[in-house]
Amino acid sequence: MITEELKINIGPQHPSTHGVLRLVADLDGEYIRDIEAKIGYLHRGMEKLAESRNYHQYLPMVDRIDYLSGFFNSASFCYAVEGLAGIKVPKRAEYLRLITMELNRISSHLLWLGTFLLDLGATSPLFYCLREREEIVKILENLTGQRMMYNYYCFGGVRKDMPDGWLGSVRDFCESFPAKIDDYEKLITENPIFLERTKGVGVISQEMALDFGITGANLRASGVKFDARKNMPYSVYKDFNFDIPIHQEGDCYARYQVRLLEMRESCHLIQKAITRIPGGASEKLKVKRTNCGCNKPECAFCGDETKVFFKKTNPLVLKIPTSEITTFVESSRGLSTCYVRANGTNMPDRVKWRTPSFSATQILPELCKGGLYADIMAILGSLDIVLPEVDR
Amino acid sequence: MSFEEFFNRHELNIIQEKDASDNDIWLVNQNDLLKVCELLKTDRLFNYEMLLALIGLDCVSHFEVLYSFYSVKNHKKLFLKTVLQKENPVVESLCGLYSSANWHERECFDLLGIEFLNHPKLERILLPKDWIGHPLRKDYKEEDERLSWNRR
Repeated sequence: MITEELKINIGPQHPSTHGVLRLVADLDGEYIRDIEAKIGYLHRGMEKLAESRNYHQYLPMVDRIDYLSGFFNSASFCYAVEGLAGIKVPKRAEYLRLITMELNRISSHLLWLGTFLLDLGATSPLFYCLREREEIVKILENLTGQRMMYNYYCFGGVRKDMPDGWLGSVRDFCESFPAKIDDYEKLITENPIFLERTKGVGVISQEMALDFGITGANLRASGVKFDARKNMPYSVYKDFNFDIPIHQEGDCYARYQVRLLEMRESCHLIQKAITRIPGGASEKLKVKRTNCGCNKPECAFCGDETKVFFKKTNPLVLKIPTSEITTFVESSRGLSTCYVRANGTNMPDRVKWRTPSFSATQILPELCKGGLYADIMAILGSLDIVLPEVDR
Repeated sequence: MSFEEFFNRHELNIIQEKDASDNDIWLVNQNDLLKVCELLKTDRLFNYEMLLALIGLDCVSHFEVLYSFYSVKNHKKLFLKTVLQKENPVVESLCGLYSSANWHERECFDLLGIEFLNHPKLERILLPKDWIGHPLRKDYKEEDERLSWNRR
């Protein structure tokens, strides 16, 4: 049948684009001939704003880069500044960071699961996923006072200690959660409609994934065993033995399976961390003083007025000498990189974010070309893109 | 084989630097960049098949571009840096070697005004097409009359 060529504009305001992504598709009947992704609708200039704020003022903004998993960006920036200033984080604070990051990974994956299935037309999983996510959000709210933009980490540790019984509530959640995942699997994994929509759709081959710089669960679903938690250890991930789930197929279904396995693995990791968390007074949560050892008055760390700079004195004295650093953190979407360059003043000279969604959006047109129009949303959903993270 | 031997064998003049977390940063001449990347990607020992990020830096007197690569086979990362002139910052595009370079280079062009030779589509990506100037340059001044409501 001869059909007319049609140009369709999807977005920027479209319920399934998880933000404001615009896709311009050239259609030949039901098939996509060409598709172009246009981004930039959520560009807030995060990197420019860093130039006019000091390190402490910039820290709360960092959570907004990826609002579904704020801890990871916070951690990335904190590790960068700590690396530049030579601050060592206490063990107890590192364990708290690990637990909160893994909880955040689960909550982010849960929201992904719900919205992905909503994109495919299944409504009920969203309610179940949000029910479990609400538990995590409440746990994190008890700890930080916020539901999404936590602002909990600070340079040299975390802001405050856990409230009474907090670890117990985390333990309860981790005990009940694997059974909930089993429920999801019963509901979704062998559903014929779901299989039809995801199996063999949007296949990313191993070479293609590496070529496009895809990271995270998307890369692991293509059979590459790469996880920054294992391969470039940060925090206390070195102390733990955990699996990195991989799948070989590289289609939407494999990405779904990898994320479910990751949630289970995170759950185990939290349980292990709870048993090993070192106790102690809340002073062990934060470094109060840094000293590079030279004891010269003009030094940025040992100088007269800079001895204590975290809680008591003015944060304006955190002046980092000229140097640069890149930190790698495995966020829930993939490898999140923060580059910070200091210039001796209390403001960073340059901050650059390399976000996993940016690369995942770039591969989207390649995956959609030649496929069916209805598959766009399945592919877009399975890649787990968050648009504020793409545009920064 | 270490990097020094590798670069010496190919007669490349490369300077070593260190960053704050003790990673090596290799300073590459901008004319050699494409050759170095090609060698590192295709060499069986190194095999840097992933371009993670491309970071443009304005250092007032000159521009710098920092590339970070990753080898999934050896689980090693690599940083290359190239220095560009202030007046005419032009560097060879890596799009032919790595597809991920495409958007990263467009972003770098958009925000810093660094030009990439042989790029398939060097356009603004984050900012609107009619934006004036490159915001991440240190000498950037917002002079667009249309944005006057911003200065209230």
